[in-house]
Amino acid sequence: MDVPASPSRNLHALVRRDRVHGSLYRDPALFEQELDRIWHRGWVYLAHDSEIPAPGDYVRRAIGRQPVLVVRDHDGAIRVFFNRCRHRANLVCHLERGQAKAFVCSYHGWSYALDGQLTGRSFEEAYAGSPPPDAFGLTPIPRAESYRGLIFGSLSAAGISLDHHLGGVKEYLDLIIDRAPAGTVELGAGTQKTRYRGNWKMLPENSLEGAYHGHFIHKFTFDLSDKRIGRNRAVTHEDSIRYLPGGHMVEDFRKVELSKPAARTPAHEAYMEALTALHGEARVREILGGRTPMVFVFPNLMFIQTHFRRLHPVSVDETFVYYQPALLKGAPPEINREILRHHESYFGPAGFLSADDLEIMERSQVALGAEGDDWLYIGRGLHREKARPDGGSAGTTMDENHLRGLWRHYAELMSSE
Amino acid sequence: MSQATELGIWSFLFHEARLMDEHRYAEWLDLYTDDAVYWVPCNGEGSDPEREVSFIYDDRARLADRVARLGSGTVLAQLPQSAMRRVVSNIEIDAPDSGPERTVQSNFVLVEARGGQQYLWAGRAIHRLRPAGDSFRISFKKVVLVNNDQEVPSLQFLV
Repeated sequence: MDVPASPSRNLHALVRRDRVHGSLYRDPALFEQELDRIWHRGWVYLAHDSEIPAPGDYVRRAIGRQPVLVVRDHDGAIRVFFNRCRHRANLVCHLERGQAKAFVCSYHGWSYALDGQLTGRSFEEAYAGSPPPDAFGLTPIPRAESYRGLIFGSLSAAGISLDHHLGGVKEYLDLIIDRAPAGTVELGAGTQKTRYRGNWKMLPENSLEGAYHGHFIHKFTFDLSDKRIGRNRAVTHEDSIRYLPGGHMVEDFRKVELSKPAARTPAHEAYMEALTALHGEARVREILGGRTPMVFVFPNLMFIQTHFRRLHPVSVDETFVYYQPALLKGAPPEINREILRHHESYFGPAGFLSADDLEIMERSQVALGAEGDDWLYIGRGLHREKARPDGGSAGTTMDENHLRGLWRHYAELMSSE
Repeated sequence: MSQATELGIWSFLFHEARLMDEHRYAEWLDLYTDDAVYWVPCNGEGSDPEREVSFIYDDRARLADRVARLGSGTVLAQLPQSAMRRVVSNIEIDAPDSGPERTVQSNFVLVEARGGQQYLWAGRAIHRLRPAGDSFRISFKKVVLVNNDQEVPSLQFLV
């Protein structure tokens, strides 16, 4: 075999132009390296503004293996702290979400304001010889920034800005978020939580190539819906699979034509009117034309039309997935109700699509135990892959150029010092 | 309430449980009224399905799609089908309100064997039963799984 003895030292040997090595999904040492080089260094999606609308609202999240707390302060600012008491390291917040006036550590009662300041040490007189309280505020994560309500965090003080990290993918986030007449989506409608026994990288790979695997693992569901809306999946489009610098991927379905578009109700008319007044007809055609793009924001956020999924890597062979419908603020209730029902029918553990994906990824993980010829082939459409001016690539429906871009980016990050 | 009514409700729930355990989809769907709602909330008890996402919130048409798919032999997570048996107990029949329907609450424990693993599911079911001939049909069913706010594996069978 031509694989180096210590694969974690030389990632470029494991990621080739048209294939990747099986150990990338399987090797616990590489998972540790990913935590260090990807999750604990770069920008990671944490939460959405609308999940913590009022002062004191909070959600617990994790960046890689590190627990953090995302909270809205009294002044409306969003703050992200390590979820760790400065005394002797207990969770200052152990509930997953909620509303707090202050965070009080359960262990010895140290209390913190929403801005992280230590407001009380129990039995303070014994701390007479200790550093003052302001030396013990909750530790903020090095960087937290937002884009259109999407809150990201980075555990590295240095590095590119969020704006730079997102780069070209902002255009696609805008396409989806601009569907909301009030200019923002709302993720406060709940979360379907699932898990699969497989590597985390399988989820973006799977989520952004449904046009290909859908013919096989989702055939029943696709047939059911395609018949109703008049979609012909045999039609392919050039420049619809895109890789964007930064590890992001897009499946752009805007050119898809439906022969039987859904009937419009008065609520749809009102929605279209509101959207057109806001953006003009040309932009609305772009926003709503054909099918909405599917987007992966490296390393853990996916938009499948107005459905979010966020992944959390548990270990090299276990991943948690969180599915959330993104409601359109300012849209008639009927439109948002459709989004909820659409979401349930396709996503989550009981959905008509997601369960097939979870199952197929678990089977892949088992198959990766076979090391005979330990390479996965990602060369589909290599001969017609086109470079984009931004440094990304474009391919035809079902091509794997976006996966090739993702892996190249991954190898660069993993090989960085 | 007469003992006969009580026994009738019990045996109806046991019959429904058997149909679910044995993947008898068409017979199960026949238990539901045309205006039925079938609801499996996530994130706790579930308050307003018009404003919150659920695992399942089906009307009769979507329920028909659901069982058509589950029975199609194409669902990957059901090849082979889960082997299941559940126990239904702690049955409480609410006092009748205005209409002819009765609300029945029950607990269940379900063991699912699939793909070399064994899964334990449990929850509380709320049925609204509408008298139909000498039995009932289900006009509303809500199933609150105890783990519906945790990361769960796929749920590709009937609860």
